Amino acid sequence: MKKMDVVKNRFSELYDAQSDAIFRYCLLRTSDREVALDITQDVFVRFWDVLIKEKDVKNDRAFLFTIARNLVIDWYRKKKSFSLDSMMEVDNDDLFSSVYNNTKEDIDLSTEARYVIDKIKDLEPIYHQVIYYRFVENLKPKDIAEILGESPNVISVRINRGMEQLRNIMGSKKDA
Amino acid sequence: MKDKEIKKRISEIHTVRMTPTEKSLLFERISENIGNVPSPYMHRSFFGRLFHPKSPWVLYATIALCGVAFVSGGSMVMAENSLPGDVLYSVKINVSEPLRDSFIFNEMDRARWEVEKTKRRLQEAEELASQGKFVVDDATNLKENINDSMEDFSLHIKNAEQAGIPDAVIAARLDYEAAIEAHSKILENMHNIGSSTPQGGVLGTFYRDISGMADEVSQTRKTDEESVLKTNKVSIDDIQKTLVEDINTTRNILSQNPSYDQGYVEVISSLLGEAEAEIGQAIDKNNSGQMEDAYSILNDAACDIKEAHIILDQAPKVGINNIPSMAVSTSTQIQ
Repeated sequence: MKKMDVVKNRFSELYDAQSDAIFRYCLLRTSDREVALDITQDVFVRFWDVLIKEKDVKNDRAFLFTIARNLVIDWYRKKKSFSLDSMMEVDNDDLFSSVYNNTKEDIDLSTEARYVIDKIKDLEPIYHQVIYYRFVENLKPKDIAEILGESPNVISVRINRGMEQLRNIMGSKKDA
Repeated sequence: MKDKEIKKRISEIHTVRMTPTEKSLLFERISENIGNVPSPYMHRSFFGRLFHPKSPWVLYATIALCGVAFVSGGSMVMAENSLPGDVLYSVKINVSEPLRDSFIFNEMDRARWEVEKTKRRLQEAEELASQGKFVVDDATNLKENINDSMEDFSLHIKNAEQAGIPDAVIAARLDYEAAIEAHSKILENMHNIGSSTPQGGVLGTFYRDISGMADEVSQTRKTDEESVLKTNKVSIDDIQKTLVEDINTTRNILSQNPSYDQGYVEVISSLLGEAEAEIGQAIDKNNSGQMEDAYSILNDAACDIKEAHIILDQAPKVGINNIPSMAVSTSTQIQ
């Protein structure tokens, strides 16, 4: 098989496996389905550019989330430049801030999911993303560290502390 | 609430995803931007999933199903030309035709299909006879099948009559009558050619029985004719003109095919002559104000012309030149 065909196959397989996760992340961050689809598209186009330039990507999944995170932050910045109010309201790295402010019906969440998001909202923002990456997208602390540009130890601590807070909020006890 | 339950609830967020259409369209958009990348959704059509499955078992099952469909479909096609005594004949009678029965939902179409089935049985008898293979069992089975079709035809035509379409009912009855009459005449001619063969006796009994059925069918037509005259405006002149044209066209076709067996030429000429005479009678009746009789006689003429057409079509397939075994049987008998 030609090298280009290998790259193409890798790309399509990755799209099939990861596009929903990337879209979900973008949708929860932007609360706008069209914007989420556009950003997801940009994520994969950029990923393709990296692939054909034969740059070394060790962890495809973490790399895709990194691109997605950066593009969402860019989108927030552009949005903020049009709205001073939003600059005051939204922390551009707060995972669910946009969901709470969402007045549109773009996010079709189950009652269970809404309940969980309501509870995560009460966490300190620093724990939102780690909890999301760890328990929704099932990423390892090492991968989360790569995305957020922190060390794996820091991420592990944040996951534990985030869970501790969540337990308190939800009136739960630690598993024996 | 335990950690497990919290984690389970968190994973509920997983339900947020693209619709399959969004996912596929988005890939197309990406593909437009980056060039020609094989879509993981291009082969996700119904057939794509069957032939490019993720599990090899789906492919094996698909191949097996295709094999079964190919063999059974092929068998059904081959069975269409089979004759009584052939291996595939039971497929034709017990599978193909009942399958077609189940796909006809209109009473009129069901009646027409029974006409077609009767024609098929009679043609099978003729083909068997032309091959010198017509035996008592074939005659018995074919008669049974024809009787069944006749009963079903009557049932469907009665239902169709209630729907209030007497002209279509008359047309179907004429078709049925003509088919039985025409084939009984073909069989009679075949019997006359090979009456001294071992199958001659079987053929003789068979064609006489069929001829009797034709008489029954023609008698039931009269009541329908009255319904047509009550509900439809019938122009005797127009019908008569059309029938005369049909007679002339049929005569032309016959004259252009001199290779027809003499027996069939005589039968066809006689039918056309009868039809001509009937048209004359119908004109007289109409002129004397007996419109109902005129209409009925014209239908008799139409039936005769239809018979002539059926014999014209079927005769070349069962002419004297196509009956080698009959010829052999005859010569064997003479020796």
